[in-house]
Amino acid sequence: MKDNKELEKLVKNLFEGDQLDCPPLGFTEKVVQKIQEESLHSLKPSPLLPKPFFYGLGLLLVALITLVILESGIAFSVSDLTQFGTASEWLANLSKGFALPEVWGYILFATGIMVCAQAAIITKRYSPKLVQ
Amino acid sequence: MEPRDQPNIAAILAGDTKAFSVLVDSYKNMVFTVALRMLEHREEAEEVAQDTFIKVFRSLSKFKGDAKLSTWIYRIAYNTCLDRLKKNKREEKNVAIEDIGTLNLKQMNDAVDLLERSERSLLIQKCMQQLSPKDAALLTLFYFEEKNLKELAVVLKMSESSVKVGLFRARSRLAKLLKQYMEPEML
Repeated sequence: MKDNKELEKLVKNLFEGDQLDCPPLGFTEKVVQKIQEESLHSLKPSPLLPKPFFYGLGLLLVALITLVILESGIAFSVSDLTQFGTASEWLANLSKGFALPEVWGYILFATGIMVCAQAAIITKRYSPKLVQ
Repeated sequence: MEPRDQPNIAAILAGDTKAFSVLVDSYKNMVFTVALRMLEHREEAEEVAQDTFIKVFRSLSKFKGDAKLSTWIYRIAYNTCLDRLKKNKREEKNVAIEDIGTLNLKQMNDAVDLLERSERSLLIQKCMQQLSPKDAALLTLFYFEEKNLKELAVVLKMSESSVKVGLFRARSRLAKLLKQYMEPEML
């Protein structure tokens, strides 16, 4: 017990003469800089256009296609399916009566390209691999 | 929780980097000293100290205040050092414990009293290099930060009784090394 006290006293005495080591100059600045860099990289990506816009665009496309089909005078019912023997026959018959005006075709094509291009740009710009 | 920590945390969480640099300045010397004594390499200790503060920044929002902020930071520093040691696959140093009854502690204490401050510092550095990283961390945290057994148990993830035993063993090993370095001219 006495030895233990002596030991504690000795080590305490020794450490009283010791001092903390200091990291190199600019240590704090380096840490803060690293954190700032990290904060910049960890920004959460958000699409250029809001989600509702894409939903609206999708609905518009569906409405447009429906309109085109209706205008071209195609009557569709479940009984049609029974009339045609196979799916390929049904599709062939459908395309026969599907008279898409040329201008609508261009519009649909251009819209499709725009959507695909934007999707590709957004994916590339905010790819996590590229960000890190 | 330490009262001085409260405003810092709130400001840091609000994104104030100046507040974070105040925190780094407050704890960098202790974190660096623990890292240096465990890793024995200045560049490596600096890297580990930087990593420690980056981890502190990342997980500060998870700090609940159950322990002192300093205890929490030293625990991160200690774990980061252990990870680095594991990565480097350093051999565990082990100084055999000598029966302290065989050491002339009183005489050694008198000899230490006669040493200059710088000489004591140099002597500690030499001894620390021979001790295991865990012993070095334990002694540094106990004598510099004056952490109690409960706080040390949190930092080192040990039970209080294990810390007490570990502290006794680390002191004994240090005394043995001290005897080796001081003999024969001093004693």
